[in-house]
Amino acid sequence: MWLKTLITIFLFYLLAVLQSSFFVSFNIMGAAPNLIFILFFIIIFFKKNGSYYEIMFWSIVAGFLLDVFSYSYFGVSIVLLLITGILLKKVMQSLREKKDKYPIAYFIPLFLVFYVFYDVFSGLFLFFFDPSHIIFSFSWPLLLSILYNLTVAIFSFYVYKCFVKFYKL
Amino acid sequence: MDFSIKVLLNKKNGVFLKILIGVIILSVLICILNLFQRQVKNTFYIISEPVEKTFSMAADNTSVFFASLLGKKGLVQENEELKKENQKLLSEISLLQDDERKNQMTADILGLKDMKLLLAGIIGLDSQQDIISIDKGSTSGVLEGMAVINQQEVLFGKVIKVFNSFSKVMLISSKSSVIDVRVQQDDPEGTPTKPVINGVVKGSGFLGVYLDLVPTDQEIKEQDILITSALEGIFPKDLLVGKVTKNYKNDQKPFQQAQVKPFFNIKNTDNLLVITDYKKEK
Repeated sequence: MWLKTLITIFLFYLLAVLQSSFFVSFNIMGAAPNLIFILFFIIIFFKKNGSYYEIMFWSIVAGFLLDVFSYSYFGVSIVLLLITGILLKKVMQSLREKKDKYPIAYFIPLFLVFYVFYDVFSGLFLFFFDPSHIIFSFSWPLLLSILYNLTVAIFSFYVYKCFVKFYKL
Repeated sequence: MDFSIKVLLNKKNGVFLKILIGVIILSVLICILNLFQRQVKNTFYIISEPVEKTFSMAADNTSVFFASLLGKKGLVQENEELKKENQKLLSEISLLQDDERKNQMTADILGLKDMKLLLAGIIGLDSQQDIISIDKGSTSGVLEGMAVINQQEVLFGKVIKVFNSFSKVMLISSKSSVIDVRVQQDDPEGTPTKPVINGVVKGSGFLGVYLDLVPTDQEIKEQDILITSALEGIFPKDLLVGKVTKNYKNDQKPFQQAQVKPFFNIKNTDNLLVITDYKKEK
């Protein structure tokens, strides 16, 4: 259990570094994947009986790494991820009735909704600290960013699913 | 009946207590992190710098590998060289045009040479906010508000936060960025009385920018070059900003906007120059 947690924390750190260095060269029209958000979303999505304390723990880990590599104050991403995690758990509790407990048909719309939620509200937080910041404006690069993130998330979804199946986690 | 109500109340109190404990722990943690923000972030950058540099190099090599797979290696290299040469030429043209118009060539050249520059390496990009990290901080003399350019005098942005060994640079494409610019138009006739067109370049996120606040009675064309006007007193004048690609003119509105292709390119840049001091025009 502890080893699994430590490995996941290290994975979060590795993805944070990758996100801010490696993927700079692979941005498409300025859009880059938010790997930490994707991993956080997948962890909560696949948690069978995860408690709220567990969601809080992963929100702190992922949010801390997002905030440490960004310009904003500590807490913005932690709070947003915590809200995302709690809402996602609530939605998953009401949806989990099918034979396949984690179908992609649930994953795609939920990821889209929560990613846009996270993007809009992080803009709102930034606007709160800096009123010149534009909160949200629809543009093609934004759409591209959502699609790019969704593609990486779907790929990660299947990788995680295979991983869970293989190691019987 | 009384017993069940008591149990329910206890359960409710228990849940409330748990939430309260959670909120208190979280608030204390966030307060502590913000109290020691500089130290925490600086330590993290020091730890992550070697890993980030390795990943950046790996990314450069991978992108070259993919380009060569597609048989474009030569073209990519040639394109890069041409881009650099083009930017250099544009820089020279903008300088010459300005010098000619004002007839102060010597003074301007001296002004450029008066810039004090500090070489800094890029170590990371926050693509959500269009903010980059550079490996020079307060110990190297970097201060908030300093302009950041490349060797071809292309403006990248300004320093917004300084740590001991690192700094955060807000790119001109950040949604919080607004800079005063002047439209540099091709003027083959060399009309000396041609009016100066001023405007502002605003960041639109995702490494994009647009031109705004240009009066509708002024005429801007595609391919017009935008350079800094130094009106806000942060950036030296005549730094290259971008090129107008599409003009949105509407007579109903007092100002016109234009789509701009910025000259800065984060993908192929490893090192930047921080302008630590420059001769300001009186």
